[in-house]
Amino acid sequence: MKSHNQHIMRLLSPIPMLLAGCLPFSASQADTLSAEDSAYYLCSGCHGPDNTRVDFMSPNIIGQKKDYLLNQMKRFQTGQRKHPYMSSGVLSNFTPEELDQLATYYANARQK
Amino acid sequence: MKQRTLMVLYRIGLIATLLAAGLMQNAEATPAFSRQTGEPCSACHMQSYGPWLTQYGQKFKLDGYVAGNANSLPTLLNNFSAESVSSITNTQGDVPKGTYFSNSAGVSNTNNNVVNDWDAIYYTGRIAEKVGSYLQLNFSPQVGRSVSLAMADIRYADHTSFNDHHVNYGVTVNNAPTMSDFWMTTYAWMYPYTTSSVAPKPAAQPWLAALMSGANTAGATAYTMIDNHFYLEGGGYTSQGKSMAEGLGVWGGSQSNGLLVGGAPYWRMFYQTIEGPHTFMIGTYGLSGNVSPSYDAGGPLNSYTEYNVDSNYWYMLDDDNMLMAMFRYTRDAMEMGAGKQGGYSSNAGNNLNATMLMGMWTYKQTYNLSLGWNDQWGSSDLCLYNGGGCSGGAAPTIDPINGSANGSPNSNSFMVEADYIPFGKGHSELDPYLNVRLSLQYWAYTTFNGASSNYSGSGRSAEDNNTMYFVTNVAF
Repeated sequence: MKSHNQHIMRLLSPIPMLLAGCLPFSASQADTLSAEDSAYYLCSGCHGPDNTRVDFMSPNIIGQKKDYLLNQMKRFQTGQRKHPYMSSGVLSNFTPEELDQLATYYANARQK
Repeated sequence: MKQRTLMVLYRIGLIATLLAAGLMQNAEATPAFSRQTGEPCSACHMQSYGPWLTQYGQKFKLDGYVAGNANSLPTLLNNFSAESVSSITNTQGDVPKGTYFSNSAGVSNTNNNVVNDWDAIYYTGRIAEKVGSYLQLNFSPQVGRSVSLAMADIRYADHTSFNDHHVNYGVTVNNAPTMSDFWMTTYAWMYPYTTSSVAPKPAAQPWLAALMSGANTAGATAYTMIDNHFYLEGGGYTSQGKSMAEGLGVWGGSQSNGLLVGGAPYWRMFYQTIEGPHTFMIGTYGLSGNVSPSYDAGGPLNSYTEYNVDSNYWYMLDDDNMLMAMFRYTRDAMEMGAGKQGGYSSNAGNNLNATMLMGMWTYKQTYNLSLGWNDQWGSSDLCLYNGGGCSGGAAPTIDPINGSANGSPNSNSFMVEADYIPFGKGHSELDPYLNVRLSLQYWAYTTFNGASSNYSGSGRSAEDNNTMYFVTNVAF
């Protein structure tokens, strides 16, 4: 029993080191992502244009009018519009300026 | 900036040194990913609970687990998750008491074992701008009584365009071949996601499957995805030494899986295409390496090579119904001169083949029904498949439950599984914090260790190992 406990303690000993090593790097990157990066990491997985849609029903947002896109994003952010993916928090930490930049990015983008 | 980069590299190195502790167990999605992306589990996972990846989930992994800025917990906590897996198992025939475990936590019953299979703590998600992690620390409180870094994948990823082609690329440090992959036809992520730890299993298993459960590899690979169609990956793996394995509690028992000595090259390539509701992939992967059967890097070595061919097809009938089929063929070529010399095998060379064919129907990302067929066959080797090896030149004894009397690795089985995943679809306030999967699995053997009846010479038949397994996965 003693050797088992020692064994467990020996195996657990790296955990604090592991956790301490990881903790400082969890910072939110909302303030560092450009509109292009936000579009790539957050939006393109479902909305394209690189054939990576999560399903074939995702609406096309590329080249849509900026005011329309901005309005819809704000409605998702405030919960006025419901969607399993969009209204559960994807846009929760975006500032109004970032939403504006993202809407501008997609309004100016062109479908491949 | 330079100091920050050095600190990141230092911590990655620190984590990498722990990778060798890996005892692979089936891993899952984590609520931490959901909190980071702000999306429900179903955005990345078919059936709303990993590991089956949607195209979005595949992209999230390709990009290094860094996407998302929706942390719904304080930053220091957001990347942590936990999971608990418990089950009850019934086999058609009883086994002797203590067959599966006998330790300070208790003794396994002759049948109808209720166990806490394992509990896990995860650290998953972004750890730097383009660096992310998937770390799973497992606690096995009953069977095995172990603590291990079960699954580990730390990757750097980026993307670019080249001649109008989109290219994702990255490097990953991880603790097992196929850990870096995306498909359930690879051994790190294979379906079914969980199988009973208190039921008899065939004596033979493909090499990469064996590496998941005890050879404690660590390695690094580089990968690229071109236009979301062509995926190429290459790298190498090795094992830690015997003393480290002993220290980590993963040394002991049958060592037929052995120690990888030197670098073992790993390759993976596949082609995938998505056309409307159809998703199709075909690929190959494998590993080749020198293996010490006695866990002695200075001793004689075996040489193994495993080739796999795999294919997946999904058809999305409508928003609610998804059909899926997957196939894998595995071929192991094993040069076992050292194994024969050391009494671990009867032959100086063996081969093992395995096929898996699985079909699934998923409804509303909540209900799943799967039907599967597994078959394996190969050269007979009494010392390799008798359930205990041959030592000192003595006549081999046959384990009455896990051994093969004729030394054959041949087994044939059918599986049916039903799953219920009530959460993970963005309909509940609990979604980023809790997910649950309930599964009922039945496994029926027509051949086990080379025979349908009396396979071990002790009167036990293949159908005695038919297994009913009810398992709950809870992640939070």
